[in-house]
Amino acid sequence: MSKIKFIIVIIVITVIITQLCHAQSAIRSPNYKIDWPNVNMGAGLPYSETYKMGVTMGQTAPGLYSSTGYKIRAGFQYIHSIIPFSFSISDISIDFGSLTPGVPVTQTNTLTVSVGGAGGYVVKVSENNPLKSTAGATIPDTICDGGANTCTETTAKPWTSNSAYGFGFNMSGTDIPSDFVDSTYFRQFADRNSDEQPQTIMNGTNVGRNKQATVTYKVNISSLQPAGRYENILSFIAIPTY
Amino acid sequence: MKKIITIITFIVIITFKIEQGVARAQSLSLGIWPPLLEVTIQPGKSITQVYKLRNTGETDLAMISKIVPFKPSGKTGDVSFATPGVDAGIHTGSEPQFSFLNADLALGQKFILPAGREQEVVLKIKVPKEAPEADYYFTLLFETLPEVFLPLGSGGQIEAKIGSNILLTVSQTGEPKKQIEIKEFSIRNPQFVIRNLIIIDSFTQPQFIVRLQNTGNSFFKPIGSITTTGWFNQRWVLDLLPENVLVDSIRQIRCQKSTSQPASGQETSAEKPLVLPSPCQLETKFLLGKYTSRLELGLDEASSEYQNQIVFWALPLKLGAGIIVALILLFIVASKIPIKK
Repeated sequence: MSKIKFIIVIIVITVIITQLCHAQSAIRSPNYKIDWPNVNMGAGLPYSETYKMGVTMGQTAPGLYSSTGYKIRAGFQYIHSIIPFSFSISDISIDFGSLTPGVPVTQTNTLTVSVGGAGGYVVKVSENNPLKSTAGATIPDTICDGGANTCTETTAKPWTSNSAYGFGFNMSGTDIPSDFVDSTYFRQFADRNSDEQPQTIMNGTNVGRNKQATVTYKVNISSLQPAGRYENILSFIAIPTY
Repeated sequence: MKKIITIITFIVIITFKIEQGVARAQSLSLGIWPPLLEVTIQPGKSITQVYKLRNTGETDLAMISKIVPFKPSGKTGDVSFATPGVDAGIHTGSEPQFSFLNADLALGQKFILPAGREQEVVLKIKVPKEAPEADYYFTLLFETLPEVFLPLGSGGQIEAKIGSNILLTVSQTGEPKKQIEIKEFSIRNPQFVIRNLIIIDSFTQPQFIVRLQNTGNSFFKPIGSITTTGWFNQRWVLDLLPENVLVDSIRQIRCQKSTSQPASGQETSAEKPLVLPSPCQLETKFLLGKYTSRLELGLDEASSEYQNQIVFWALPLKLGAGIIVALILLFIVASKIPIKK
C-alpha cells in the first residue's frame, strides 16, 4: 500500500516539475518584461579596421558607445524600454473567390504594431500593379463613387454604388488616417508600377503595445470584365519613426 | 445505425471544413531591434552594429534584406524613400557602404527565417575616406518574399517589410555645424488672438506648439524646456522630448512625461523611469491673469542657446458669459412675475 502511495507521490511531483520546466518565451517581473530572453547572449564580435568594439553584450538595452572617431547610439535614448518594434499581419493572402459582376466582395486583414521601444511608427502600403490576370487584363484601382466622390491613393471617399467598379481598401481601428470617415470610405492602393509612393495607413506617435487596425479590401467588377484569375502583390512596410 | 453514420459523417465534414478554413489563414509577425541607430563617424572608418530580426509568427518566412536611403517627411518623424532614378544623385560612389559580416548571410541575399526563430545580422557600415562630411539617412529593410502558393480565386498576396532607421553623420571633428530656426512657438488652443494679445479661458489647459527647423549640417536633439510663470509666482516646467530633427526638415517637438510606473501596455527596464512622449500641455485647473511662457533649448546639450517667449492672458470668459446669461434670464423671469402690492 505504501509503495502505491510512494508511486503516486512520485507521479504528482513529476507532473508538477514537468509543468514548471517549459521553455520560456518571456521573462517577467511586476516592473518589466523581456520579450527575447537571450539578451545576455553574445551578439557576435563586431569590429572595424581601426576600432574593436568587443562583444556587444546586452545589445537589446539601449547603449551609448563612444571611441575616437565614433559615436553610436542604438535605440531611443529617452524611452528606456526593451520592447522590440514588431509588426503582424493576420493573413498573408487575400482570396476573393469567384467574382460576380456588380456584386462587391470584401475581405479583411488585421495589422498589429507594438512600438514600446520606439518613439512612434508608420505603416505604409502599396501594390506592385492593379489586379491583373495572366492574360494581361486588369481590374482597375477604384475611383470610388466618382464625381465629387472620386478617391485616390491619398484620399478616401465613399464607395457605395454597385455600379462603381474597381479594387480598393478601407481602414478602421487605431492610428488610421482621418479620411477614412467610416466603413463606406475607400482609397485605391498606391501603384508602384505607376511610380506612386507607398501611402501611410497607420501612423502612431506614442509608444504602446498591440495597436490594431483592420484593412477591408473590396473588389467589384463590371459585366465587361474578361474572365480569368486576377492577382497582385500588396506590400506593407512598418518603420519606427526617428 | 443509419442516423449515427449520418451524424458522424456530418461532424467529419464540418470539422474538415473548419480545419481547411483555419489552415488557409496564415499570419505573419516580425520584430526588429534596435529600432534606430545613430552614428557619428569620421571618413575612412567603419563600425558594426548587431541587429536582431525575429519571426514571431506561425509560418517560416523567406526573406531578403536591403538598405534604402530616405529623406525626412512630415513633421512627426516619417520617412520618404528615395526613388531610384529620381534620387540618383545620392549614389556618387563615395557614400557609406553597407554589408553583413555574417559568415552565412550577405546583405541582399535570400534567407529563411523559421517560425519562432531569431536571426542576428552584424551590419558593417564603412565610410570611404573621400565621403563628404554630411548626414546620410538610410533604412535597413527586411522584407518577406511572397508565398509560393496563390489564392484559389482572384485576390492578392501580402508581403511585409519591417525596417530600422540609420542616421549617419560623417564628420572629421565629430562636431558638425548644428543650427536651427524656431519656426513656431505658439498656443494651440487660444480663445482669442487679437494682434499679439493671446487670450485663453481660465479653465483651458494651454497647449504649446513647438516646431523647429534644422538649418545646419547635422541632425540634433533639442534639449530644453518651456517654463511658464504667472502673476502670483506660479511656475510650471515642461521638458522637451529629445526627438531627432533631421537636416532640411521641420519637426514638431513633443514634451516628456516621466512615470515611475509602467503605463498601460508598456514595459520598461527596471533601472530607469519610463519617459513617455506627451503633448506640451500645462496641467492646470484654473488660470487667471498674465502668464509668460519661455522656450529655451540647446542642441544635443542643455543650454539657453535658442530662446523664444509668448505672453498670454487667462480670463474666465466662459464663466463670465455663463453668469451674464444667467443674470439676463433671471432679469427676464423676474420682470414677468407680477409684483403684488
